[in-house]
Amino acid sequence: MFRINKLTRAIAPLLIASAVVGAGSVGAFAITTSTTFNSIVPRFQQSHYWVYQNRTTQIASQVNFSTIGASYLMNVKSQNGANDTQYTETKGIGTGSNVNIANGTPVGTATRLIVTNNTWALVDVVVTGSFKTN
Amino acid sequence: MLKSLSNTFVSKLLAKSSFRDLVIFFLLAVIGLWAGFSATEDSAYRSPAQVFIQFLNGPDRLTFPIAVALIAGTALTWELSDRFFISTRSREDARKRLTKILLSALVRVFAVYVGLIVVYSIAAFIFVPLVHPDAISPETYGLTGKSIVYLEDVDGAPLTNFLFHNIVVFIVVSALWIGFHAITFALVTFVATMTIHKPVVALAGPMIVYVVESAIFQIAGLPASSFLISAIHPAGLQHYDLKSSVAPILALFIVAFAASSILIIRSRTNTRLS
Repeated sequence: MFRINKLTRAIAPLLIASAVVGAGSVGAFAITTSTTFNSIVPRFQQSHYWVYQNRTTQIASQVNFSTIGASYLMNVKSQNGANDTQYTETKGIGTGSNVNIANGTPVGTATRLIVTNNTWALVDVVVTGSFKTN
Repeated sequence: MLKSLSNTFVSKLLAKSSFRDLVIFFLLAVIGLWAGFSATEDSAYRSPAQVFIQFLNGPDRLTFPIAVALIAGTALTWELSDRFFISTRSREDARKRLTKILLSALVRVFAVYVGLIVVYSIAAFIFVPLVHPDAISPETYGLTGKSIVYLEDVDGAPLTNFLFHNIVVFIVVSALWIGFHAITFALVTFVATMTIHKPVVALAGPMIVYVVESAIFQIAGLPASSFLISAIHPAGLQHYDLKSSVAPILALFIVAFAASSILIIRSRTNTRLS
């Protein structure tokens, strides 16, 4: 019994420390590497918002569309979660290429990407691919 | 007294087709330029051609059939509703008068939309690079080299293929494209005005054709054939197939031209005109 308690006391801090470090690395993984999406972009240039992520670098965000329904072209911009500032929108994005999205959100602040379709698209469109908020 | 004088002056001015066209052209240009410059303030484009297309992707896409109907249909609507046409028939043959009205309408809608293309070209190719130099950023799209940017432009907007010759050829082709669409919808306006007795419903005819056709093709997953996407300038899709855009407007032109011809040929026996 004494041995088990001693062992637990010795291992517990190690487990907690590794959990903290591990969680941190998972968080960083979610930001600087790709997050996949499978989203429905609404008609008439209404916004679809992807998840908030904390900024870990100052470099531009990136998006890469794998498929876009009915071959429309998409527009993407970033938003600062702290003050709702939106940055320069990149327009007319097709499939298959990494496109930079300007993002002036400071490191440590939450940011997200916003995707819209053509103003004159009368239908909702399914898009798949990946993005990095960086 | 002053009020009635000014009212008479305004109605006389509005009764003049050229003045009405000028007012519509001015309004369209101001709204289009405002929308275009607002969009370029906070956006990145791969090329000046994409900026030009942005100017054409504004409110004009929705106002197009309404503006065409007002330019092409107002004169005939007034003549028909005031029984002016009938009283004129004793002096002028119905066929001749209708042909004259229709040709004048076609020339005027063509001129208004060609004029708009010229205004937007100057704005997009000359003013935007001066006012918002950061708006054109091919690097944002991961594109390096003019030829790569050109190929990307052509993929999403096939008329930019004519930039290969030079910018003037591209502007001329863009003007002819929108001009042909304006002429076709002017023919639709003529047919609607001649066949529908209520002027407001008749002038709404082109808008109904435009929106219903767009909805049908977009729901069917064929956006290139939708007038909302293709009529002003064919752009905004990946691997844009121009044939899909040419087919519906050509079909509409043939139908509207045939219907207009029949209405003019049979105008001498048309009970509405006698």
